[in-house]
Amino acid sequence: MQATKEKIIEIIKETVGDNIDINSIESNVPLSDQQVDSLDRTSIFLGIEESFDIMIPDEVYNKLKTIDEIVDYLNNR
Amino acid sequence: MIGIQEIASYIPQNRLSNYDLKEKFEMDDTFIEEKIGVKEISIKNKNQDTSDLCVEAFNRLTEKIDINKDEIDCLVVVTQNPDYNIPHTSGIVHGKLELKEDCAAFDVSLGCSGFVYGLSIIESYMTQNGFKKGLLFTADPYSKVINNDDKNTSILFGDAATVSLISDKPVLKSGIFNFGTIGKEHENLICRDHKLYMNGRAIFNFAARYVPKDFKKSLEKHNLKAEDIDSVVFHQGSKFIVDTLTKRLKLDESKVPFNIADFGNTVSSSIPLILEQQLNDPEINKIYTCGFGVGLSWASTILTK
Repeated sequence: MQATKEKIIEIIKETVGDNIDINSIESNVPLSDQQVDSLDRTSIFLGIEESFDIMIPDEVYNKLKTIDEIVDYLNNR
Repeated sequence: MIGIQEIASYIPQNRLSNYDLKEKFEMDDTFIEEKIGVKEISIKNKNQDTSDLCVEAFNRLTEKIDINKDEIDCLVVVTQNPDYNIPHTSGIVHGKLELKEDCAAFDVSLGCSGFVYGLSIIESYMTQNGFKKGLLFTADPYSKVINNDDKNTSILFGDAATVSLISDKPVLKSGIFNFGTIGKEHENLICRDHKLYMNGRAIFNFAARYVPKDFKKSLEKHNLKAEDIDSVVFHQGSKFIVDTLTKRLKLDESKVPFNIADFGNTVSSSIPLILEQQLNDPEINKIYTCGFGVGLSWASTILTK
């Protein structure tokens, strides 16, 4: 499956949409600067893993800060 | 039939506040209250050991129900933080409680799945041997192994002990048990050199992936539907994990208790601490319960009044 910014935002909405303002989220700003805390991050990445049927190793997980970086990783892994 | 007749618990009075750690761990009130859901953690006194916590829980049991110590046929202690590596803590508890000599005592080394595992073990053991009264203790004081500089664990785990009187006059009867193990992931929650380490992401993923599947499997085995269950008692890992499981299973929030704000995740004691409150609640007659964590391991059953 091709990863897109829209797909990742959809996953963010499904997993932690209750906790953050999804309409103002920016793809090139670290999620941690947009009300996404460490626990939300785990939930978002689980959503991504399940949607794309992959496992994202901890070392990659720790490096991916923005939606753009996530999309780039998913399309080039 | 053998089952749970009564439950009592002991939560040490000493508390450490997570609000005092806001700056150290860069947390805000929302994170403390709405995410981990733990405002304070309970801490045992330095001179108290695991067996002492069990004795305190037993003393509270005797305030609820008359116990003739000579009738206790066996006692089991679920712990991974025993008084000593040798001997087993249940032997020490047996001595402190001055139970009769022909009373079996053994430990079960499990963490958050330990109460449900322990329930299956003691009930099977008592049935096999014709025993009528037994004691199932949970006491896993993580304060013995917590690194106070580790945010993942030091704001989460609290000390407590519980004891369940297992007898032939059960109030709660166990259904079919499910058990599971993901042993290849054991390093994600581990104690090395007396220091606890937890990969929070791995534990979260494990619970979020496996517990919902277990819930559905358990309902199928019991030929029940989700709406037949009055209460869903998950191990109280954190508010975030309990909320996540509730959401993933589309459960009615009012059926899913969360009660650890004032003492923290008490490992194998978290489930019996809730069951203790539900034992005499006439509105609650069918309970799905699942413990999950260290191992990685899980166990579940459906309890019926």
